[in-house]
Amino acid sequence: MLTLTDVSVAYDGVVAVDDVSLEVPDGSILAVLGPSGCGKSTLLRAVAGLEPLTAGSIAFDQVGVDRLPTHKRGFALMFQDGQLFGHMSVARNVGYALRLRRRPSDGRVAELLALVGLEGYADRLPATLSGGERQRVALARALAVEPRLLLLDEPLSALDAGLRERLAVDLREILHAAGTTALMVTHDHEEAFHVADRLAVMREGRVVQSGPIADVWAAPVDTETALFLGYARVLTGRAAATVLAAIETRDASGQAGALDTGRAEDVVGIAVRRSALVADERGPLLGSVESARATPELVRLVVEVGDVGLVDAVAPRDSHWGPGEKVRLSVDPTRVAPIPRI
Amino acid sequence: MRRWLTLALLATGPVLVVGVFFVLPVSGMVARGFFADGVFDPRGVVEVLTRPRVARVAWFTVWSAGTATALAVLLGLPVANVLHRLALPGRRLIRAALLVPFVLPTVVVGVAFRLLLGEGGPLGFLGLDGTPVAIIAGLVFFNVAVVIRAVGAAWESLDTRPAEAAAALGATPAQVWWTVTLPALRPAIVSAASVVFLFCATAFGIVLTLGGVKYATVETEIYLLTTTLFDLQAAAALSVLQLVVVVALLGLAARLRATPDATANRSTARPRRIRSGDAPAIVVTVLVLAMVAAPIVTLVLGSFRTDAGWSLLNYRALNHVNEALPVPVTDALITSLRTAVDATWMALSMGLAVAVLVTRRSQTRGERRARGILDGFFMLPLGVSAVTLGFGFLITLDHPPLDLRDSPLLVPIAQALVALPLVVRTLVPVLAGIDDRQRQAAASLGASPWRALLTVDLPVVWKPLLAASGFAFAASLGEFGATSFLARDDHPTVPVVIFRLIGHPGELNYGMALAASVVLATATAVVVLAVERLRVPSVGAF
Repeated sequence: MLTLTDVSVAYDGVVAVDDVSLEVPDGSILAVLGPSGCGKSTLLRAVAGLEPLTAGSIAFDQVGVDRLPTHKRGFALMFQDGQLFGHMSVARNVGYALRLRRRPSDGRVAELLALVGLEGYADRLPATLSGGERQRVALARALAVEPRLLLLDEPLSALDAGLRERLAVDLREILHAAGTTALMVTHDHEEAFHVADRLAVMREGRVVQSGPIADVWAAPVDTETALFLGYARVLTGRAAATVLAAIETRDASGQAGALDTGRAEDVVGIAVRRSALVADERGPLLGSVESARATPELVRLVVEVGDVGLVDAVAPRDSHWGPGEKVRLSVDPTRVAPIPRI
Repeated sequence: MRRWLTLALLATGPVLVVGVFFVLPVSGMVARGFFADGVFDPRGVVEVLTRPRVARVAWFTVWSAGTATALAVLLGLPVANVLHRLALPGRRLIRAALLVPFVLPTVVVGVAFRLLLGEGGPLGFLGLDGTPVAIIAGLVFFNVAVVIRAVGAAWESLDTRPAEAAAALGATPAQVWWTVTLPALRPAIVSAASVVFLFCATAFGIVLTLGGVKYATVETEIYLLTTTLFDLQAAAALSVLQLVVVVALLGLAARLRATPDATANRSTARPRRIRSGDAPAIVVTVLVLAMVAAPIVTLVLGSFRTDAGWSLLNYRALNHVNEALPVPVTDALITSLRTAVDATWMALSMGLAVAVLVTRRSQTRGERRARGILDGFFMLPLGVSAVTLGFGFLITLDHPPLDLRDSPLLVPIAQALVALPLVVRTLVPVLAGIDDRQRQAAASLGASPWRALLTVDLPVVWKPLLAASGFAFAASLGEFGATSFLARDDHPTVPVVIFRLIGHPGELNYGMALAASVVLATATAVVVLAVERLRVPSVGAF
């Protein structure tokens, strides 16, 4: 288990990582999520031993590693763009760490290439590979000596959207198959959601929220976190109360309500996803359509609802909406999250 | 068609100049070797090349240059690391200081080393004066700066992440060096080493002052054969030998030279904090600094020492005439400065034309080949010995229509040709680094080619241009090989005067030589430090 206790890192007096404490249990994958410049990459480099700590400590299985140089920590680091060694073939790249330890590499390299789905690529040079293939080779290289911790720096960000999604699922499967403990940083909440079990949200050098990924998702700690996690809007005051009331009428009508809002006075607002409001003839809210846009799966609406203001809503794909039309909406409680008072 | 016309137009001037003032003299020199009394007769050349002394001289040239190159690389690598990668306080100052030896006049360095190693010198007890060790030390002193700058520049812009990736995979610092860093630096090291070998193998002033007659290289042997023994055929034969070897080496160097993606964004890594593992590299750096400083300090101290204790006597004598000198040193200094100004504008205008010429994007394969050939053509002066050039001037430009023996421009022209490759090598990386699409963008917004040049190229190139002129100026101030043939007796340059002074017995003559050396060294050092302040990375990197 990786344990970070009160870790701080500063460059020339500017604090990049501020008093961060985190744990990564064995076999789990923690994603540190944050906007660019929030210090997440610095945190990763500090764990790898590439940046000195200004305060705090890093331990693995209760043994401090702060004083160990990078190559003795046994943590493999995978860079955003792979950082394959351009002058070595794919097989030599993958077998690099094995050769360093004078272990036989041929069989293991073939096994790893099979694991990442690149059989037959052994003799290629990195320059001839596509971005996705390069990342797979980098992953195989990082996994070669079964590192006790794998560090992933935005592993999929350099790839295009379709490939990113497919590789994210592969990455999760490969890591789970290998039983690897991993710490990954990313600015993409979807990437984090696809790959990780646990999530830590970082902002301005601090970890503002952490926990199992579903928990963090269901209860963002504040407005900015909610927006960063992909919630479309955060409603407050009267607007929030109206939407909450709509959920309660729904509960009262006997349908399952999943939202535990706690006591109303502890809630400063509610975060709604783009699909939280659904066009529903029997819905409790009434609004008028501002704009409608068809997507391959559904129709996305922007609706002006009295007391609530402009909100996003969805309607079935085969329905047709024009500006100014009246629409009744109901609230899907699984797509709303309360924002607690701090 | 218009592209070819522009190409031809740009090329005409420099090609003509290099043709008349380089190819003609050098081929005239070569012809001397092969034609005896107007008849083609290569036997003379063969006869010269089979002389035992020639074999000895050739062997000495190769092994002294080889040893000096190996030492310069071995010492230069750790220093390049320390000065370009570590957060060492004052590293910019040290970098600038280490550039000074490279442009110090060779004669000055020779004098300084003799003072340091000679009888009564601080290191006289080592008994190295007049030994090959002294020559090699002098060559290393000169060229370690080339290695530091060329490799340092490559090292500084080297992405640190592959090394970090290797460390994260469990590689120790030594393993990272062997498996990742060294392969990435290899092109820069090889190209620096080949240039250093070239400089060492054609070194003239330093070998002449430190080796005397006993230890001669091909270059000094040509000088001795021409000026002392008047055996022109033998001198020509040696020139041919040198030409062949040097052209082969230049070709090899061009092949090995790193061609980094010029338009790529090269990142400069933040300097790393010093760790305990850096101690050996820092020790080497201090050692190299001491090695560079020792001769210079000895020289400066020596120039203030006279029979009557410490005094300015040697400096006061500089504006007097004596039996060794028909003109006072102060006059020679003025001649030197005038000559350097002329040589600088010549080298600069030619170098700029050449640099523009070879960096423009080619549209056809033929055009690219033409530009490649021109590029190599203008690098030739780098490899051909200055002595051969000077001697060639004497024997080919002495009859109409080109009777330039008495022209005051003869010396500057020769010096400009020697400085030309330095200018071209400073400007080419800068011009090549400009993304051609910037010019296209300017053109698409309605800028004429001239206007595009003004908006895109000029802002990038003015600083390197200034740096190149400073560099050419310094090189011209210290040029000795060609100048020693061409300078007129009544208008000598300072290096020529220094050489004449140390050849004459007498305490005051020697003292004056030291004082003149200090003055000349100060002038070049000031110019080079000013250039270094411009922070142009390609200066001094080949």
